[in-house]
Amino acid sequence: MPGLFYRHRMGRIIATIILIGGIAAIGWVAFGGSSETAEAPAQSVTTDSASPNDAADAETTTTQPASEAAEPQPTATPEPIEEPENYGPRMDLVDIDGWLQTDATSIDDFNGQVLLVEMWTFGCFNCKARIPHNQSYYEEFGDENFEILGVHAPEFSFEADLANIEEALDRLDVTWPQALDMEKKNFRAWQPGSTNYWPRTYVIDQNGDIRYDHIGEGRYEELRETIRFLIENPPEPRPAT
Amino acid sequence: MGTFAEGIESIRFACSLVLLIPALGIILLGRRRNLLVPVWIITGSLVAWLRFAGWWDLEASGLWHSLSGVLLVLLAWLAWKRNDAIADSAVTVLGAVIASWTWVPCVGRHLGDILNAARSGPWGQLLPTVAFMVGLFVPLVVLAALDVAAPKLAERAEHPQVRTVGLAIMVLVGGLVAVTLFDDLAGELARRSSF
Repeated sequence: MPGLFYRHRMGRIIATIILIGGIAAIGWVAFGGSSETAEAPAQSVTTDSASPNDAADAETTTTQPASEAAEPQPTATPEPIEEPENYGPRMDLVDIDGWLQTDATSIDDFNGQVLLVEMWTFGCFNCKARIPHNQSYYEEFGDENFEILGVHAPEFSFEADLANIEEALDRLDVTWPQALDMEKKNFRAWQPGSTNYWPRTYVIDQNGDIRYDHIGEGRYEELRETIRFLIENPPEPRPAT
Repeated sequence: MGTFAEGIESIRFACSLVLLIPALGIILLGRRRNLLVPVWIITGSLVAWLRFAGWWDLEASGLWHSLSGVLLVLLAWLAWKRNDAIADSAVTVLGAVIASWTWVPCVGRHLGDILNAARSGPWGQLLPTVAFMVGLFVPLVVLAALDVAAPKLAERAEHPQVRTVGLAIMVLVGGLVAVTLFDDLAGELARRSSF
């Protein structure tokens, strides 16, 4: 019996520790304790690496929210990345429900450009966290042969309301073209298998090949270097068939 | 640690409602939370990991999904009616499978790392997936711990009316899964909390 009593008491002590720890963790998040996915635009401090993967790792470990990086930081010019992998031709965007902030009516209208395609929805926190980075790419490469195309694929019914989408684009300062994929046909078709994610980011080269594919936030410097590489080193035009 | 923290952060996002609403139903319905919560987390993590690895390729729509919704309603009713660990566990396992199967994640940095790596090396991403899920389900862990730390307080949660609310949630989830409208319920809740 003393053994049972001891075990029972130990169990309550452990449960109490878990209880307090759990409540503390919830409170920590509720009061904004974690900054790793904070909405503030991230600022890359240094990236000094020789390969795309190294660059990504360096970016991950040295990136911090701008609010925490107010002091001038030492910067280093990133090494040029190796040629981005070629994942093959992009798919088409089919049955698009409308286009916003562009005169385009097809993804083909962007052929010949380096095109960042982002599957997103305005209610997705992680999609919103990418917006400041996309804005920075737009500012940096907007005058060059580069464009961003958002494919807005709503998760919930309120995100499929056109007025809500337009209000969100304005509020979030998203100025690049948008293709409306209300039924998520393209969102599903572009992502192999039955599992789809928000956000998913692709970079399409001037020949229409996918050269970058990333799920979720992060790897912002790798993406920037991929865009830069493709602008500076366009692939040989594919012979007409 | 970052993965665990990102899981906790995900509690706030609409994308996670698909996981959290049925979990709430199980917590209110079940009597054995310190058993059911680990079962829920392990089952949910495994299904999510199988999906990340590309080994679970069933569409979260269609006949099988609808049938599982009907089965969930039946099992929830059985668990409510009987004081039976097997019925409680069965509804927990099926609820976790359906929730994880239906879940379309909003992906942060750490979950993104898991997903990008799972395509080439799935086994290395099993534990990070569990860590993310434990973070996401921390409220359940707290409630399970409460059962042991403060049993008298926990007894109040087993009031028949509380269990009936749990049953109602599970019947609603199962019914909406069966008619493929579960996402819309989550959307409605998200919209009400967003505007």
